[in-house]
Amino acid sequence: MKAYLPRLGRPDLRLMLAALFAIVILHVCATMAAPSLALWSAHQRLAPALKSNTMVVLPPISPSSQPLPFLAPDVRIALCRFDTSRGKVALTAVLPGPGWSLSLYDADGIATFTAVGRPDRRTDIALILVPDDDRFLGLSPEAQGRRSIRQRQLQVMARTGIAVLRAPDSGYAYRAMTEADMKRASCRPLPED
Amino acid sequence: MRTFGSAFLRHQIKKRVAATMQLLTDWALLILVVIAGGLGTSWYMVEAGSSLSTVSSGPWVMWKTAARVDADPYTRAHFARLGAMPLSSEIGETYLARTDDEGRTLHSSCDYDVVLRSPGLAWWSLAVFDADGQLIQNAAERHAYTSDTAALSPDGRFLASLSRSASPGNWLPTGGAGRLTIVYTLIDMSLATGTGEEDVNLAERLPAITQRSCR
Repeated sequence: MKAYLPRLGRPDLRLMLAALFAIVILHVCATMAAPSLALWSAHQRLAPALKSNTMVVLPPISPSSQPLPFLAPDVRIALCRFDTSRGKVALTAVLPGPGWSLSLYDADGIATFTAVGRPDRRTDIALILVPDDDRFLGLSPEAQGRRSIRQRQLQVMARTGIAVLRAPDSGYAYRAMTEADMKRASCRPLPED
Repeated sequence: MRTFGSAFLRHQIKKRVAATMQLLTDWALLILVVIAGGLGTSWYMVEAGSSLSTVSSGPWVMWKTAARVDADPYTRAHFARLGAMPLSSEIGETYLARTDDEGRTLHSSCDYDVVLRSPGLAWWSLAVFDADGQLIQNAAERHAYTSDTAALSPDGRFLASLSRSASPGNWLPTGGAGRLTIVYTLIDMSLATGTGEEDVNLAERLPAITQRSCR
């Protein structure tokens, strides 16, 4: 140790720079790899229990039925694991007021689309989820000379993901009404035009 | 002569072994510093965040780009590790507090007052979890209050009481959960419209957490 100490007084600048560079590289690699190394991301927890392209209204959240951490019973949740690998998926929902929201999360937990209910009016949402590749999905109704009945089309960046409809739990008296509004949300594969 | 030769050889071997050990120690030390530095700083930035990725006010911390397409790598890693599916920060703000206003760790052995001075018209919720984000089992089945379910005091404030034992008003039981986490969620239409009003008086808009007593 005594022999080693004097050497510490003469730091090797090149070695220090190399160490610093290696620390930065390791820091970046560890941070970038962390999402894919996470054993239990939200998508990994939810996806296995959900049927593809089907909207499911979850029971009220409680300690015994809490699907994700930091998910409180202040909201009711409806989920749809969408998968556009076999074609388009139609998603509809109604957001009657403040506190309601619809978000589409990709497998990395990024919300690629989000809509929120407004206090002054009801928001009707009708989306068509399409694959994010260059696959030919047939001519659009407009290209075929027909009028499209679809109100809005959204290009989803991920091929698979989870649509989350959140409804504020306004208390026991409103529970049935909230649940009825949630059950109006749908998620289903769309036949080709 | 033979004795001198073998002693010289032993000395040479000793010197080489010592030099090799020195080199190995240097490299081991370097690798240790690199691993500790690289992984340690990454863990800290992902777990606790910094001003690059979070907004803090008192005990409250919010990840600025939670669930957003433009989320930074620290935010992505934070929520992937946590296993949570946060509300996008484009439409709402989710603040977490693990300490009270004095910086003391929230614990179920203590009672706390949480006061929201100006609830406003936006939809908000206040929920209590254990340190891992699990709801706390309690007979009253109370885990959260929202702008729809909270009882406001006559002066318009919202006052919640966090304690093991029942208390009047907006009581949130903490049971024997140990360390606590309080989550305050705010869905404000002014955020969605991007008026920038969210920057005004952040401390005023967030609840104050005061320790009342400890057992």
